[in-house]
Amino acid sequence: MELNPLRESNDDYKYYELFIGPNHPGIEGNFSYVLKMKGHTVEEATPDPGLLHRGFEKLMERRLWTQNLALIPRICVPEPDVNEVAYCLGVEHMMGIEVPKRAQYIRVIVLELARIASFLFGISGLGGTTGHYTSVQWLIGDRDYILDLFEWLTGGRVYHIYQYPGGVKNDLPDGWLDKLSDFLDYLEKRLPEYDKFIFQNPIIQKRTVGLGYISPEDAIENGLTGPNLRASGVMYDIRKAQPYLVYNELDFDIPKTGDGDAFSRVLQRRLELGESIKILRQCVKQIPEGPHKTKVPNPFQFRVPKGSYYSKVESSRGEFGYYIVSDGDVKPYRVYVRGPSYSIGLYYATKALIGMRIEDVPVWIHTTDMCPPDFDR
Amino acid sequence: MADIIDEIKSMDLKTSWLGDWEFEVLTPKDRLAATLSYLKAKGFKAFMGLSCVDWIEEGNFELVYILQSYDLALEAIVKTKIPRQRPVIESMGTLWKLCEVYEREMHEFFGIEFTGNPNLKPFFLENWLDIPPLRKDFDTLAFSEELFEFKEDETHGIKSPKRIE
Repeated sequence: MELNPLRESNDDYKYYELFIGPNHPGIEGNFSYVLKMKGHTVEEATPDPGLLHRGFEKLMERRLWTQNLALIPRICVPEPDVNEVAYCLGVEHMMGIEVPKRAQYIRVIVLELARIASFLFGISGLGGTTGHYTSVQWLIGDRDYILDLFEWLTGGRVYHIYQYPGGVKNDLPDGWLDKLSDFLDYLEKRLPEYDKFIFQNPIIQKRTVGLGYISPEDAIENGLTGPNLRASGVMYDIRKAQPYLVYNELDFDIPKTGDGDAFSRVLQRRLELGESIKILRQCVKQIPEGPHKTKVPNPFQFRVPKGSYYSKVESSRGEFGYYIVSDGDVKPYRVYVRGPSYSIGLYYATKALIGMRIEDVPVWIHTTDMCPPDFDR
Repeated sequence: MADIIDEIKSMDLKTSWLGDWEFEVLTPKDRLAATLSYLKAKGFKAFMGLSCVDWIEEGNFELVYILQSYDLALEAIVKTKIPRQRPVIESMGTLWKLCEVYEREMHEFFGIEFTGNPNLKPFFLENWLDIPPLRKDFDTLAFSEELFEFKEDETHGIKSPKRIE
């Protein structure tokens, strides 16, 4: 029996287009890739953003300096606090505001807690794409304890709107630090279990070891930052290299995995999670007494002197930067947001996904821990 | 660190520190490529972002290139101004391929032409017919009033927007 001649002769039948869109469980957030496929293999990947575009940069120009603090947490949903802190650091630098020591410690506590929450969320995503649903349920369950702590501290579970130029809005409630210590004890007991059922799991290892290798040169050239960069062996962390807040008073290491494949990117996050616990324990011990904010002008008279500044914070995904321009008015002249996922989601993926099998695409996407809201802002 | 600043100054370019870890370099449009490739050779290998500021009163767009050096732990902010009337500049895709993606975004939001960039198709916005939206003369209120019909809510006295079919 003869095969259909169209299959062999016509090139149009060799390729097909596959849309991995916002409803697909393998994609992160409201984002999509259009893949040109040949059989099981990706031949071409085109990012298709815009499903989440809200025009934050334009909206910020229409609001007062302090009003923006209620808007910007929405730029990164799983880890909103980095936006608030990066924005506040920029504004404080331009205005020359000194932030009290206690407020700086509270900021570090909030940032590191958000970092742990984001890591738990990110690692659990890998479980979803490999069919290992226990990890999703366990890790998201543990993340909920952090949201409880945030709710007690700020009133909000996901978006906190807790930072303010000159400090934080409220002091820590009585007994909050004890509750935090209890949670850290609990999480530390859970970590060996995570290691056993995620990182020593043969299925996860088979799916991720050796997948999507990124060399150190490639990582720098393509603008990767954070754990993705460090997993490739470039040990650069803003908290160490350009310390902000009180990170220079805290003792922590940058774990080294350095293989550059998908497995080491997830392992990097797991090890950095351990370091975050170490930082939080020191903060609980070292946090000084004193005021939690300084006096700043009232919101309608809040003017930032003319100039520009690029402030940045190490988020769980990499460098989160705010380029702020002021013309001396009560509203910002221009705010540019540098999201850490921009380079990997919109550019590097178009190179890295080529030649990959379709079932590996969601695994690769989740091990880079990209967050579409921060580039589709 | 200080060597680079001195060397940039000797190249007749204005430079100043913005903070502890970052400095800005102001360069004319025709010397942008040379400045960026000089900084890249000096260790500023990572391209962190491209932004644009619309200085509507002086009639200029200011392009802001953010570079990072991992060895020096420094950030270089390179700024150049181009006229608002005819915003055309050379693409920096030859130095960083990644830059082309940022240029595509700036083309969409500010209407800047990057010569040599092969892909300046619409990116985030779909079927956009108005002027580029991040320009200062784009009025968001007028835009939504034109696109949506505001209808009085008689029971509550609230104006609620309604989409024109």
